[in-house]
Amino acid sequence: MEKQFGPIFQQTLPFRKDIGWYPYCRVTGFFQEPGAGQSAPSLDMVMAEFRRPKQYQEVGSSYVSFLERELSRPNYLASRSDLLCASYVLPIVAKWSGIENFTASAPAKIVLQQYMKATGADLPKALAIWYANI
Amino acid sequence: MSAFGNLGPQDNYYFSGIESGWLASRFEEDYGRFPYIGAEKKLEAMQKDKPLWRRVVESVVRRAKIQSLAGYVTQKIIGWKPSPDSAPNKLAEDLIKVFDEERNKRTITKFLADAQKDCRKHQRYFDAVGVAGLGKIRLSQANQASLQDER
Repeated sequence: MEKQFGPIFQQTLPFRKDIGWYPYCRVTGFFQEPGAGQSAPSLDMVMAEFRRPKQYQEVGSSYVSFLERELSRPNYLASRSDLLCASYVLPIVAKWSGIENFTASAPAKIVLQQYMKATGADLPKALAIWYANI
Repeated sequence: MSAFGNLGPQDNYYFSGIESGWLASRFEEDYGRFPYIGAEKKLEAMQKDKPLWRRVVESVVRRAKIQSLAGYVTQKIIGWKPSPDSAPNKLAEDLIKVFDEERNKRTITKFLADAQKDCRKHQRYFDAVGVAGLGKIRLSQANQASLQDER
């Protein structure tokens, strides 16, 4: 393994371990078929590209409003997978904006707590700490 | 496996906003590069295995405008020495090294002929392929010492 491989990938978007998922990422590398005793193929990564999140100051409050609308009258987040996918947006946007310890305003906190209640135990495990500390 | 675990067949892991809409609009449109290049040994090996035409084209596309390339190579061939404070330009040196490899001397003429043929198809062509350098000296006979001093 190359030097600094772990820290670079685990602490940087789009691969942050405390997020665990990213919607827009392209990886280029060398594909290798599984050898004897290996169950999966491997990919030696050469380059990764990703669509960067917008800044929290730009999209944060509008996203909370979006969640609030969807919780009262589900439309875009009517399906369970979309509802859960939506949980990643604020943590990704906040961390990209340099907000490591996110603290929601009082109205936003109410919305996010309602959202957590809606997702219940299906809230992605990697995000549990982030949502617990809002 | 999905990050969401087993949600059942009704969801099909389809995210409505992935292409446009509520999710996509929170991200920039263009892709940016993650600051990491890996598998360097494999890349190096691949670079050596590349055909001549690809190495030449990649060198040109990556590092210089063709006009400046022509001028620079000419200066090297006729022996003009740039001043020490000239901006470094390794492109010409790289190209000359590629052209000078013994196995490439045999293929350079074919490379140029194929390039000419391809350009003709697109109505962008040169009339003749030159293989005798610039009337002063063949590229492959240039003084190697004079080609190695640019870094």
